[in-house]
Amino acid sequence: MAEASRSNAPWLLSGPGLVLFAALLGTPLILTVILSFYQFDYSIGGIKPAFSFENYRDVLTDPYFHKIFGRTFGVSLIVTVFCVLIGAPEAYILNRMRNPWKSLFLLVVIGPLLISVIVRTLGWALLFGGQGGISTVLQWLGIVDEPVSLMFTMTGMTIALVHVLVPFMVLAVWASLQRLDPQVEDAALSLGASQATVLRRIVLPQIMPGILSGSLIVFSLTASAFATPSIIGGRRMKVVSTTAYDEYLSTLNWPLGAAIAIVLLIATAIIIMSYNRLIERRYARVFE
Amino acid sequence: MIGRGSIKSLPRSQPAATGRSMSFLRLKNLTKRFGDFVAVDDLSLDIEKGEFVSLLGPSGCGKTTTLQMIAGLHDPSAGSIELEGRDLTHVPPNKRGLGIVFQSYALFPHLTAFENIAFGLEMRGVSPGERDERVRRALDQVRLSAFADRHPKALSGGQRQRVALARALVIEPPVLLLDEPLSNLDAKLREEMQLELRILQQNIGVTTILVTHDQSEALSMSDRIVVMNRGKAIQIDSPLSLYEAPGDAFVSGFVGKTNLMEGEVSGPKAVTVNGKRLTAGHGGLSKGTSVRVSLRPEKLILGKPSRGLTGKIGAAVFHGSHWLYTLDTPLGDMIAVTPNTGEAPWKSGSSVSLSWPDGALRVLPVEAGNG
Amino acid sequence: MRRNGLISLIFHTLFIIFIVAPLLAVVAVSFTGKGYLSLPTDGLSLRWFRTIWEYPGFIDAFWMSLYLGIAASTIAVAVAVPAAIAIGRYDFRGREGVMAVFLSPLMIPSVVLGVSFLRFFNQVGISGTFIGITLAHVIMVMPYAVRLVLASVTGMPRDAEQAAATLGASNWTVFRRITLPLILPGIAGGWLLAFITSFDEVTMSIFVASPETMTLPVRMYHHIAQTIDPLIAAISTLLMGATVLLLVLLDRLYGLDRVLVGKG
Repeated sequence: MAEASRSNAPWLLSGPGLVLFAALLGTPLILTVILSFYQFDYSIGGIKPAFSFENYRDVLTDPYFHKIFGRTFGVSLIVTVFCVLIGAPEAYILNRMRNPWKSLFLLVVIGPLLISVIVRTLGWALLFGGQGGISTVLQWLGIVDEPVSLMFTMTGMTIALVHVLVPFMVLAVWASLQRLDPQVEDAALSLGASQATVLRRIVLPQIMPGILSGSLIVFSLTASAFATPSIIGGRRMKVVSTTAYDEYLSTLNWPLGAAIAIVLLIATAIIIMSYNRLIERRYARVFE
Repeated sequence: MIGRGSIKSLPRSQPAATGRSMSFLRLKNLTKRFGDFVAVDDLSLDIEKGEFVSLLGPSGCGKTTTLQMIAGLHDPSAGSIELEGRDLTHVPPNKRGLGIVFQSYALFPHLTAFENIAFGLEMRGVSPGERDERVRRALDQVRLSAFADRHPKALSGGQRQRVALARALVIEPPVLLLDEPLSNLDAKLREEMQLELRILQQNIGVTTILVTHDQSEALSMSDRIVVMNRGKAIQIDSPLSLYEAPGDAFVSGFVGKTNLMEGEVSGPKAVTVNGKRLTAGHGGLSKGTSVRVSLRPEKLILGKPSRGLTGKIGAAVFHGSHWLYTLDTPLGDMIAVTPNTGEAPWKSGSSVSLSWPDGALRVLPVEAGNG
Repeated sequence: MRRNGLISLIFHTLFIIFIVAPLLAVVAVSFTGKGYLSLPTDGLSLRWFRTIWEYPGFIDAFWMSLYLGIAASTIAVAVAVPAAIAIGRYDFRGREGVMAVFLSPLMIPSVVLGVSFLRFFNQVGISGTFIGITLAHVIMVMPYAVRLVLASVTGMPRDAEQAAATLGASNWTVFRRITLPLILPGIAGGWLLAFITSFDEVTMSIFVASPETMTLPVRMYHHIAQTIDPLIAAISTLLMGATVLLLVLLDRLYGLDRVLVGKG
């Protein structure tokens, strides 16, 4: 870096991008905020440009919306916890493997990030159905007597979302493991620590930043997930994204849909920022 | 660093110089194979209590693997490790209780210097009060008391090195293992640390094994040096004997600088190099045997040209405490090192006479496959 | 040096099964010869792969996604390269802010982006056009392009450029002959990741895609919302095959974990 310049070179270089973002991201967001204060007129089936807090009052007071927001953030929390519980150990195990297994399994674990969410969700829909693989296996094992379907259930939605998002957790933890000096574990062992103590006292604190940043990604992506909750959860398990979609494209109540989206944006932003603050306060001291 | 009263006392315990009754740490026929590659080949070594032994050799010679086997980080393919008669060979590293200083120091980045040093005591269930006291003492020993609450990131290389040393020593290990501990320091600091480490080791009297590729480090610190090459111990000897009486050309080339010449035995106390007959003892080799002849550059005496062997000065390089000359001689190209007395050096191109004390010329066997 | 224990390996095996199972389910079902969802128990059949050609809607959507991905990622990279150089090379007031702007689409829920673009395109009158959806995708994939190019800009040694400058090269020559070749892997990786992201995007596109600009994932979503049949499994299998090819390419080009760290 260095070049502490008062020249306008950096502004010229980043200018085109900034203009593009101002026009194509800033403007649309502002228009949506304005739209969220408008009213939907059911009698004419159109938008009435009259400023009011009506939509926000609906979203913030109606128990129907409370339930949807509660479900969305509840699922996000559960999915995040599961991703930590299975993603972090998997990253650690991967890191201890030798090549070529290490590269191969890393590819298998994080490669799905590049496969469309639709395809991955379809896979779960196939497994979850009454005739699907999971039902068959459960019956074969004698755990259940008749076909069970995980479609349109909270459990099914959670499993599918964990599958979709756990690669992000593995990646984040993997990245922090790469910065870990492998001799540090040997050092702790040589000082008499058991394998479990090494994990708890030496490895875990050092990969904590990775786990925390992975949690942040998983949480915010779950909160705004659309395709998976829509296909697996369906109408029965509506989340914020699917609700906004329905307001827009079924009910055509754009102002209300806009208000729902804005509340989601603000709620997510608040959660992310306070979490970030927490991470920084705890870890800035040790890790630069 | 040295000189601030750190040379506190005379060594409390000297390495047992007499009697080889029972060894403290014994490596017996230690071997490590990685697939077809033999990293350590049938290494046997007896180390006495309080002794400072260096494993010296080029990278890939097996010295680090040997250390890691002693530490328990690698399982030997064959052979055994005994400490005070107790078999350690298959004891896991966290049950061996040895102190190790790693090349990267391997400090715990999320813990302070104090917490790093306290870790081993905590694992041993030492009470907080005693722990505190012993850590303070260890910090004092390495003169880092003022840095107890710093994280490794906020310490300099030399300070990190000393935290690592204190962390390894505070558990009062029977054996201290040092894996190239000074290689990440700059030259000046390295020399200071060599001295400091040696004094500390003698004060505590801890049996120490140092792995290094730096021959001057090994020479200056050790009681004994094990020169290793291709997984084998080539020669095990005190620094002085190793330097003065290297067993073969590899050792003589690796330990210190030397002028190595090809020659053959031409008499009971004579060898011929480039047609010149030189006096040198060779332990009764038969006439005509090919040998190598080694002459340390500082043994070469340069003088005004006379009737004897004469050479021509090539370049004169100033090193502060001494001069290094390259020479064109009837025996081949040579180097000579003379102390700097403050007088003007020999000029490039001038002729000088070459002589050396009796016994300076060492006759070495030509090892098979290396000839 | 240290090996994984038995428990670790069992955990790992279960994890891999969890990751692979749904993908294998899709592939298995796509090879069925029956007219309904089932495993290909009596031999593999390509019946449903042939059926795809009877649905021009999917074929058109595929081309749409392809063109869209190429257009969006090319524009994004073209804008991202100078921006990344500005961020990576200059220490100026507002540097952090500029970075935050370019990464902001990652922080904004896709639904919010979708409704915003829909409103905006309606207002300026490019709703349902290729230009509209392309611009929306440029914004969407920009963070990936910026991140990967920036990583290679900050990772490249400064002295090579300085050496070229002292040898008499002009700024433009330095950029063209030294900087550009050195950051090319980052540019290529960024482009590919941007392309894949654009190609796979559903949530935002579902709002802005019109019947004329329907992308493949959006078309697939609508299909699945109606019915789940072996046809959609066959399409998914093809898509996965193509992704695996790209994955290998990306791995060769750049190292997959490095690319995907940009994704995370």
